[in-house]
Amino acid sequence: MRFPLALIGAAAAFTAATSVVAADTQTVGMRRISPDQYRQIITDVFGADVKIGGRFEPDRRESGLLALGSAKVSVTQTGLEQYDAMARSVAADVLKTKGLVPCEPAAENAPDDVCAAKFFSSVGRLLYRRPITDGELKAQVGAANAGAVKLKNFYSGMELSLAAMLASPQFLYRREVAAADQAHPGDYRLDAFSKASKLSFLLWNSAPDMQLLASAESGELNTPKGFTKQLDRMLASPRLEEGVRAFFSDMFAFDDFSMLAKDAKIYPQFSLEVNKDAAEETLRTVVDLLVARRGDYRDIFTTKRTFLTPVLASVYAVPLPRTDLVNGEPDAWVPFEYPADDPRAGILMHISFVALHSHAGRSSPTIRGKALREIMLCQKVPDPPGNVNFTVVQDTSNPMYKTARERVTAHATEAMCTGCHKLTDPMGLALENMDGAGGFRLQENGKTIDTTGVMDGAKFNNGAELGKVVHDSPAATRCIVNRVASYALGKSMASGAADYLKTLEQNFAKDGYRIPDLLRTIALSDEFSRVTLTKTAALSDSTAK
Amino acid sequence: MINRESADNTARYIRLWRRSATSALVALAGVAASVNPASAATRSYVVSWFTQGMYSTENDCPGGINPPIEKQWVKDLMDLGMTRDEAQAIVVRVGNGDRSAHDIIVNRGRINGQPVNAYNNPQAVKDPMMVAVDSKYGVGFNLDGKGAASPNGFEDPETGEKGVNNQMARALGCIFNLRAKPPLRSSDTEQWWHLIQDYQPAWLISIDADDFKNSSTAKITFDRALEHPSWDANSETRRNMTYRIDPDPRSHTEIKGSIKDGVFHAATEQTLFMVGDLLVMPALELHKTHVRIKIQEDGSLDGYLGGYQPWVQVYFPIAAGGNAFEMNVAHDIPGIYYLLKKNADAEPDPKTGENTAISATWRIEAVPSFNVPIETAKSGTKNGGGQQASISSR
Repeated sequence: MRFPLALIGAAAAFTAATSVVAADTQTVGMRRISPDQYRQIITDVFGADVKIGGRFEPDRRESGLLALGSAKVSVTQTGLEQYDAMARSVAADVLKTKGLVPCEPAAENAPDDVCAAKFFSSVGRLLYRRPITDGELKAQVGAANAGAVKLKNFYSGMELSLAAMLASPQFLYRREVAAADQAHPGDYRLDAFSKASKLSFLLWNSAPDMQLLASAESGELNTPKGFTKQLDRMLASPRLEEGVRAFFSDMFAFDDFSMLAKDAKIYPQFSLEVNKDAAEETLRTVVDLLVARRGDYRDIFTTKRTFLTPVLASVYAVPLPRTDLVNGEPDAWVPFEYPADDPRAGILMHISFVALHSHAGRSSPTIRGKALREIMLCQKVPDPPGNVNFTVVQDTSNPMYKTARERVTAHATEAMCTGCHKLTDPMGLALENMDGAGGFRLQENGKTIDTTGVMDGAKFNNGAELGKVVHDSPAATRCIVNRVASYALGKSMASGAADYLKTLEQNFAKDGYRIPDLLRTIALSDEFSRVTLTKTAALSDSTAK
Repeated sequence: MINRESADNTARYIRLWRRSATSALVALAGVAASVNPASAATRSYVVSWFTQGMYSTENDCPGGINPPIEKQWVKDLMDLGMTRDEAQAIVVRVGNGDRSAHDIIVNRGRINGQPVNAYNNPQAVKDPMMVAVDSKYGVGFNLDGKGAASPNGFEDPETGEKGVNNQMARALGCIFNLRAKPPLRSSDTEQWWHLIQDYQPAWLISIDADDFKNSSTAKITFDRALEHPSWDANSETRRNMTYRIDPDPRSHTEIKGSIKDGVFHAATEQTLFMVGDLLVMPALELHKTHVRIKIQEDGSLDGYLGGYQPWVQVYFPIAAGGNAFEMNVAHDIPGIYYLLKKNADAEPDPKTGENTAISATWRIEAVPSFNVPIETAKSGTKNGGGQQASISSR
């Protein structure tokens, strides 16, 4: 027996829209939660044992970040089916797990509205990131009741109703609501629950916990002292790693790994396991350096420390003895540090960078250089024109051009290509010791690889030295400030934000380029909760009624 | 297939890097002054392929290779007194999954007129007189030292050596699924090698030499790992994985030899023993071990191990596969028993005079790996730098 869950969800959404928002408020944004956020919320609310299967709707990248695109994506009919299927699967797991329903029904073969209300008022608050309204609770309890009557089972009814909640737009979308700023008539600020969500998704990549919601409900979060207290609590939590991990996964475009493929004949080491572990290596490195060690952001380009699995170590051709391996168990992650005389350092020489920004069967100095410019330095490199002849760079067996440097040099002599290649190739060529899958090499086609070059006036001899140049580049710190601010505020940093960004940069430098401190500065800034209403941007909730 | 260029580069890089790692180790140990600065080094590998050393050629089986198992079964059943039609009907039923027909095949041995399992009691089945190899060429070694005068000796097509003793290849070389001519592999080993990769701890090799092109004082060491081999994207054994060496002394053998023109050679009286796996090869036990392994430019090894092997050790894993193995992989299992028994050529039993060992050659391939003593793995900190300083140079 299938219930029309989407209709129940829509009904709940409608109920929410008409009852939860006060008359002097405006809905100023709807952001679809990301797949990782979906998973994290389910884990936080119901535990790690609840399985999540199915396909999520594709995200959209805006101004370099998926987080910005989340405000511009909807749910297709197919996507709704997927969310519905996932919701049913999660609900089934939850209802069969002992202890997740906080009460025993009076009879297992009949509805129990009191027990149902207790459950939905509790989980509804966490899933909707605000107190559940009377109307919403009534809808959920009613759905559970109808299901229990029909299926003659309390838990089956609860399962259907919970699935409806999980497929609801109240759960799938973060709704940002602006309330009139009493202190500044005419101005608007995020209401307490929207602010709580914004903070929680930024720092923990998940929904607010009970403490944060309580702070929002009591009004404490709207006070500077209360907000700072919650902010510092969250920054001190180990869960900050999830937030930082989510940001860098977004900034480094690691979602592209889902589409990455290598020619197994050319790169036999690049298996599915390597693909799966590559991004994780970099995220662990970054989180360890920036959060666990509270290190300098710029050091991600020069650090010798990383984390490896056995298969990653095999690609890098480094030994990685396992001390606790049991055959058949998943490979463990092991901290690893390259020796001082090893020519590798920094995340630019990770598989996650050199393999992700290469072709299936060969490296690409141009793509790597472009990625470095655009991702790490926030500099736009124009796309190549449509009529470019790539024959020379594609032919890796041409005896006239044995190395990538020789091939791109020959290619870039064409006038129409020269300009852009000057922007990208010197940096990309510095990484040519790493082949298209992340393996280390000294030669290509029997010829020693030349990795020297110049970036923005600074010379380097190899990839590790390129990392040092990026480390010292003001563009790199300017870029990370811009990206973090965009990610945190949920909007692209327009030219009008120059002064704000400059202040952030100065504070970032003063604080030793520490990401947690940058997050704190942004969260405490007026921009974090201030809302600028435009005639078209805001949806009047009175109109929605 | 591996990316040759990448492999070359990796091997070159590892050599450079390990040299510095060794220097670090030496410095740490504080014994720099007492260590010969010559480039003595160790290269380590994981076995990536292991199979019977066959050299199949046209017309090397008198009257052709042994017939398919379906025909062999018919012959076996007729030997029990069935008519051809009755025998063929049973074989058809076996193909259709008929359990009772299957049991007839399995229990086609007879002891005192009673059916017995043919694989456990191969002597209870009449010798089906399967064909053995009759060829000039075979790979391996002159184990008995008699050279061209050795009875049943082959000529090795690689080395030109005459009097090569490889009776295992002679016994098994006319079975379709075991036939192969290097560099091709037999279909039988294509199956079982991939089968055991996932549950048999890896076999490890290391070679010590002062010069890997020519050295009169080289050494090859065989060990077993604690970890299983790992696959690459082509379902071949992954290069450059790290393995902990199983401290179990049973699977540790050091053999001294020499390297000439990049080929390691050894001809010894030593026994090579390796614990294997229960299904395919419980153990490899070679007496008078001989080794010829080429150290290839891409960093891998390719060559042969030879020696006299208790022939029941060759038979047992084949018999353990039972009817499924007989049907899908090998051939008439009691027939193989008789082939091995008749071709055994060494170590006669003092009481019966029957030979208990058979000259055998095994083809072995290996790819570079990091082989680490378990003591090192245990004492290694979570910091990779500490681990690297303990890795020997290659």
